[in-house]
Amino acid sequence: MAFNMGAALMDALVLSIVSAESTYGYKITQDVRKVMNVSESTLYPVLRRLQKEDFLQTYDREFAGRNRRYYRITEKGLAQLEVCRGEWTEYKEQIESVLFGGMTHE
Amino acid sequence: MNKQEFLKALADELCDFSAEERTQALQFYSEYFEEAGAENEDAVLQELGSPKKVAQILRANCRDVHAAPEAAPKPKPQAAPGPDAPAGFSGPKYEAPPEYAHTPYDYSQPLPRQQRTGTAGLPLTIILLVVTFPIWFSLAAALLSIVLAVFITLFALVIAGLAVAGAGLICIFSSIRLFFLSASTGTLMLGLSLCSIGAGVLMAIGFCWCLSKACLFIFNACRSLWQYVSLKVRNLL
Repeated sequence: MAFNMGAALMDALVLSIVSAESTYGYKITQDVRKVMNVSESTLYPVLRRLQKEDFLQTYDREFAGRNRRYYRITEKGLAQLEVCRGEWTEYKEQIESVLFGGMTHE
Repeated sequence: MNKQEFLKALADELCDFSAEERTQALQFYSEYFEEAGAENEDAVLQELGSPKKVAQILRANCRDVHAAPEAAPKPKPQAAPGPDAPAGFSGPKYEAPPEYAHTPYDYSQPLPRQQRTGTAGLPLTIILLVVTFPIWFSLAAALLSIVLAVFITLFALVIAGLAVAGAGLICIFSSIRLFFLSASTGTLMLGLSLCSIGAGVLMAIGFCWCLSKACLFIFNACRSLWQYVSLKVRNLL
């Protein structure tokens, strides 16, 4: 059974991963793919969008003689992450109240 | 398709993007390939799919970003339109853009198989290989002979280096004997033999190094060739 993965949830996951540790594109992709089966081509658009919305910043570091672009979360991004987490909790509770709690609509 | 072809094709597909966007995207994917490593290049290519598809996904998202400044402050009238924009998650910033929602994020959906590029495929390739057998086989044989010759030469030079060093070593003993006959000749001989040893050892080491580099080069060339061939074969199947 497939639960469709919206853009908002993707953003939240990426923000959360980067907030834990500033990291680079490949690693972010692998971390996300541990949790869900998305194509590798999905991650870059998300990262780019988050960067454009000033939730993430990039900086370059050299590694093993080549360049690595790292992503770091911004203040704005952290705030956004908190909003996401709140909304997810609310959403989860709503779903679970129906899924596990039976239909108690008033 | 290999990494270089993929990146070039992607660059072409992104021709309608701004230079900045295009550069950023290409840099990301180029770095991605590097991180995955040469051994995973095929797997990554398979996962990413066609450059066209990648460009499509990019286009779907970047358009949304450009529209964001106007869309964000406007409060959307309806709260929960569809399965992937649930009530709690649909503030104005969080409406999943229609194009984005169509991209496959489902857990169970199998990732799309890479498209077949031609309809003729494998049988035609086999026929072509058989027909042109005299050409490619002789070329391959010639190439192989050259490689073999290079290796033999390098190896011989290593042996030569060792021989020179060995000769020098032996001459040291003669030089000691000679020393008793004539001090100057003995000294000369000693000096020459030491030089011989030095030169010989350097030669041997130098050509050993050349040999190892050549081995590495041939090994990598074979591996790239094998990957290229197997990818082509996989594309045709």
